[in-house]
Amino acid sequence: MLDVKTAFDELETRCPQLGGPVPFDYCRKVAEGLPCSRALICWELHFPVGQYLRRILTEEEWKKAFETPSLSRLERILSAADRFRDQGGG
Amino acid sequence: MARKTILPEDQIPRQWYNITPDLPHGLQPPLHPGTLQPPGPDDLAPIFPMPLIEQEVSQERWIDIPEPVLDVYRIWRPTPLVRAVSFEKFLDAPVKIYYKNEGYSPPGSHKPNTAVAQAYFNKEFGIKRLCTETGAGQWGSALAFACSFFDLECKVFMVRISYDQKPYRRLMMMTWGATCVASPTDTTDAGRKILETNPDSPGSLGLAISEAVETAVTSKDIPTRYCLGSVLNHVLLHQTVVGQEAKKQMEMVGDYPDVVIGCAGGGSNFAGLSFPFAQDKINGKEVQIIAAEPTSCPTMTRGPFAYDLGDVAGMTPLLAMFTLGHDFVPPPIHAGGLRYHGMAPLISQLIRDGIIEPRAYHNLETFEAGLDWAKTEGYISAPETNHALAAVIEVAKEAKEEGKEKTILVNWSGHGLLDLAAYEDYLAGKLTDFALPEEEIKRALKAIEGLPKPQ
Ligand SMILES: Cc1ncc(COP(=O)(O)O)c(C=O)c1O
Repeated sequence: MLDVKTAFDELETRCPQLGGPVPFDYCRKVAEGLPCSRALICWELHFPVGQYLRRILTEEEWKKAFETPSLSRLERILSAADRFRDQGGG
Repeated sequence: MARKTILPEDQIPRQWYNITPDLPHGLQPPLHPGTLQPPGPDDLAPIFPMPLIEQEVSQERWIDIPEPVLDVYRIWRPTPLVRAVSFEKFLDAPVKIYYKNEGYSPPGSHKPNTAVAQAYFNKEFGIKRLCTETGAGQWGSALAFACSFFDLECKVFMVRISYDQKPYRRLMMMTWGATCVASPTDTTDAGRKILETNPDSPGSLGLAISEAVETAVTSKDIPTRYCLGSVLNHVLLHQTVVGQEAKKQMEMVGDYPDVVIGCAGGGSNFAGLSFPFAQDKINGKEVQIIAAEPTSCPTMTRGPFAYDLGDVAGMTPLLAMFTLGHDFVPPPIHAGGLRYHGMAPLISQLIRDGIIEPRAYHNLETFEAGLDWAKTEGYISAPETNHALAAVIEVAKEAKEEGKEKTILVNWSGHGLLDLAAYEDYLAGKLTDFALPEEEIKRALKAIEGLPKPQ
């Protein structure tokens, strides 16, 4: 039987962030279990990814994945540093 | 007709060009996500050495390039400016095309222009080890190369999925003396946390960043800092040697571009070539500047693509509405820069200012462009570089339609000799057969239909 959650997992595309091929499975879970914020753009050609993800994600998960501004690179670096600086000397 | 324009070694630029003081509307400072204030030196000092922090916020238009950096640059710089005569003939359009060959560097891309500078300033500041993350491995190998000149240790966190796919990039890093590990690792808290729940995690760029930053800020024994290969102001600054050289070379052949093109991932090679020309544009010169970025969606062939640069806050693009022949139209999405979240703030600002025009190209047309280029100009381009070549083709077509002569300058940012697997996929038709058959889609969607929607 078709497992709905994994129906498209084996399809592959090129990830512009990593610079190499990735399966949909990767894009579906890469952001702490949620889809990459680019997933809708990268996968639209292959299948109705928006419609599909709307079905398998809760409203809250969808919002977190696609409607929350993602951190800029510097913000990401600063928040990572904040998390660990207390432990360090540097 | 001469193809190459070679700038003598003594004409290598002595200063980097900082576009910040020339921005028509300034640059909005980034905010610290914790304090919501612009980050100060205290926030940045555990991550970057002070000279690079100073460059990051500098308002000086010109910043001197230290002699030891120039000395390493001289291994491959100045890079040739080449007239793409055969590609022009192939396109049969009223265009002259010049490309700056940044694939000429030992690691094969533009990335060492900043890697060498970053290694130098860290070394001068007393740092002994650099950490970074890498996806495809271009940046990791450039930093490994740079560190070897300044006797610095180099540790590269390579996203596991790429690490497994790209053994040769990893081996290049090791050859230059760096350590390259597959992220997630068990050497950091961030990595261990992921491995606990998923020992086979393929990793992600975000996690690799966390691991590299954590290693930098928690290293007590060896003074360590973190390095980034794109996006930040100081990285773009270091790349401006490219555009400055190109300007001199264009002068040597008595030409000036109507259109300047680069591919833009984080924005560094694009900025490197285009910022010296953007300065001219800000000062009134007419020049079109195009940043070519990826979308996997074939906007031209499969329906309309609505794209608007304004959202409620006027800050982020409103993206994207595609109709793709299915009866499904996704809702418009306001996502904090679905496209631009990884793009350099300086470039986002210049897009808002109307100085730079972004254009998007999908996978297939970029590989088609790459093959046309390889067959005419000989060089096999990095897949990223192919986006710029797709833009060149589009501009050439426009010139033909308009019946207008145009001079195009493009950054050939790197070779693709370690990306041949991607070319193999393209040549094997894997990329063309890409869309899932309609039947398959229907079957999968049908199966979802019956399910209750998650709450
Ligand atoms: C050859 C090449 N060109 C372009 C890019 C995109 O990066 P950026 O936009 O910072 O130049 C990369 C990134 O790895 C690259 O390897």
